[in-house]
Amino acid sequence: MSTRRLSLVLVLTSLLVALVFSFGAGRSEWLYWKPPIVLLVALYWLLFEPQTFGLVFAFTLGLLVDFVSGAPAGESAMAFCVTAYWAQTLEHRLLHFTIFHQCLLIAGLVVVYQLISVAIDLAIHGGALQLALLYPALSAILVWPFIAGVLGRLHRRSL
Amino acid sequence: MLVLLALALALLFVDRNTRWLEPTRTWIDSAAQPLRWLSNTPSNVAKWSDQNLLSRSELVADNQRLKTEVLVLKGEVQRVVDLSVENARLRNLLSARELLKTRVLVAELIGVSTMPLRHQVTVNRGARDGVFVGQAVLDGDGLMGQVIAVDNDRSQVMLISDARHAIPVQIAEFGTRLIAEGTGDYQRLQLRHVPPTLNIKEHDLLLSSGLGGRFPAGYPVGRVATIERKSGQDFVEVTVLPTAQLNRSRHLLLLFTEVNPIPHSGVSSSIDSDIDGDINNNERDKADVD
Repeated sequence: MSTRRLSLVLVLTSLLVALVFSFGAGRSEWLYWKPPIVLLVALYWLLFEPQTFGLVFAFTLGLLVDFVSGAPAGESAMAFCVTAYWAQTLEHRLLHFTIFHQCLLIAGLVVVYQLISVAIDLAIHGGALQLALLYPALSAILVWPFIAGVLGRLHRRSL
Repeated sequence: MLVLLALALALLFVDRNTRWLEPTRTWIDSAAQPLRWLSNTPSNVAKWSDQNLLSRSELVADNQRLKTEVLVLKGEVQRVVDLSVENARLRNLLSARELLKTRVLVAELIGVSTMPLRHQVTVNRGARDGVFVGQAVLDGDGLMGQVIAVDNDRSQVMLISDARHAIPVQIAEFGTRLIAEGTGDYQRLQLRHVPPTLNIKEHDLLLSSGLGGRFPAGYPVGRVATIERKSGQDFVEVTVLPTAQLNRSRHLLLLFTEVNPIPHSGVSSSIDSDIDGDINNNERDKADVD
């Protein structure tokens, strides 16, 4: 029971830290490159604790992101949900991949996420589709090994 | 899965068409405030060290520069007084009914949208400071955007470079009216429907035209950057470089425009009252009219 609780504390902390990072303004030239950190952390938990975290978890988290980022409520929720569903179908294979292959798959998932949220944005507000929406997928490749490494280490220690 | 997707669609619909989710949004946003503060810590530390760890010579140089600047600005203000006197006289001649008077509130940037394609920032002023939806936002160099959502202590500002945004402008020199749309690029706006016969040059200054009633007239929006005439196209493609430092300014000005009726008699005294904002004078003028 106590390990379970420890793991939950770790999950909550990791998500809070991810939220803090996602708020960071940073230099505006790099804004397009900002990886969706909350999504990546959520994906980690979905992939490595699939019996605890599922679609409802992804949906709730997406809704939270919508509320704090000022996006239309439901936008990220839907994007998180679809991405999580896809990740779940890949889960069994992903865990056996090398970190490099994992990165490529994660990039693919981030592209799905970006496409859904931008599509909803376009449907609601209109505007221009830009190639820039693919940048976060590239930066996610760089960030994923770090996230998977740190969370993996903490996760194993907590078990 | 399908249930959740349906729920998301329902939420999108509800959020788009009603204001039911506002309280939840406000509540969660306030709960996330400490996180926002935490994410600002690096820049706050940088600011603190900038303020506290300056060398004396830098301070002296800065002081000198500011003194010069104040002198220059004072000179300009004298011209403004002269101009507003003239403006009031001319308005009176045209029997204009009202004179716009503006007041600004300084706000600090506390966050930018987590979605990079959405050019939206959060500032640290809200309903408690009288901020309202639709309010124009400036920085030192020009128009930045408008307020689109207000909480008690914070508000969301959509920048003019957001792809969803458009602003009515006029060419400063000729007064030709155009519409400048955001493109999703901080350094570029686009002019809509520019006829090939229009006399427009690079570096032409564009001012807000005040049409549509959302933005006040006469604030700089941008300068024409490129003009591309394509044969076979009905319109010329014109891009505009915003004058405001959309991605750099950390301090913004929220603009309050108050409508003051111009008294129709006694030009000189009405000018005094308009400049000093002296209500008694205004009252007296009204009495004169009666």
